[in-house]
Amino acid sequence: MNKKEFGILTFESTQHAIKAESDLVKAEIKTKTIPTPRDITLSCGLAIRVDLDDIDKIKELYDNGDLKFKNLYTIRESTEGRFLKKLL
Amino acid sequence: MIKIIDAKGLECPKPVILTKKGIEEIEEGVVKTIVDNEVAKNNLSKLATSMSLDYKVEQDADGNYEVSITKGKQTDLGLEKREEDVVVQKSEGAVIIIQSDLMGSGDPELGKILMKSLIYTVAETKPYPKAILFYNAGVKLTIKSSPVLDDLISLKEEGVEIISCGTCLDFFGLKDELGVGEISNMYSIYEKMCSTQNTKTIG
Repeated sequence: MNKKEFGILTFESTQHAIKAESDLVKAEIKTKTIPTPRDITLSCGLAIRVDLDDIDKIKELYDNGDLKFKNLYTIRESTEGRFLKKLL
Repeated sequence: MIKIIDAKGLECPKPVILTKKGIEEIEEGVVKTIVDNEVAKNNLSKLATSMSLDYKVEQDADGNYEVSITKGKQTDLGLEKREEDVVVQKSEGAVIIIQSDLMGSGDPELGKILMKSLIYTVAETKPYPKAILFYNAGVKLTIKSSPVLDDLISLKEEGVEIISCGTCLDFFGLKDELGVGEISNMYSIYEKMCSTQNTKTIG
């Protein structure tokens, strides 16, 4: 998961982050629980980092009500800097 | 002679103390201290002024400051340095001690998630520690099924020593499950703990 472009899920509360992590594991999606990146301010302290390849699956889970989160972002890190994009 | 002190990642007032010591140790010459922040840079130029010594500040490509302080006869800064006169003093990396697979006490589920978040942060933050020691339930983080295995592997690739207590792995029946780093005994764990003032205990 050391790719320089990845997805970030943010949450209203720590409990929601813990719940979402177990829901994602159940759906066999690779997760990494991380401190919320500093460039995202309006969220609780924990976030979940996911692979870009899984974003469509995550949106599907979200639409079906099987997964709850506050926002979905992508972050791309390159030599020109760090780019944050809000998807949901 | 020119003496180089690498004080990147050291907290105030350590760069100043090391530099002052470096200046006192030489008869004449240049002490070049490399620091990674502006406050340390300013404190070093204040030190030079207070000792009535000439100094110059340069910034390298990584944004670090190189403060060169000249003692004694006016040396042409850096130009006449001979290879054997260069003394490099490396900054001392921290030793992190992880004594549980949970961070803090109160709620185990929260503790587990905080620990994951912490190890990720260590792997993303420079300077890296020189070693991470794992004992008691901490060894559950260095086994093949560890949720932070990839972070620990990338730290190891950066030169960080990852050391797990053998007795502890054995106790939990995990001796064959080690996924990263070395198995060690109490002697080397204690030796590592004593090798620096800069230890951080988490668990």
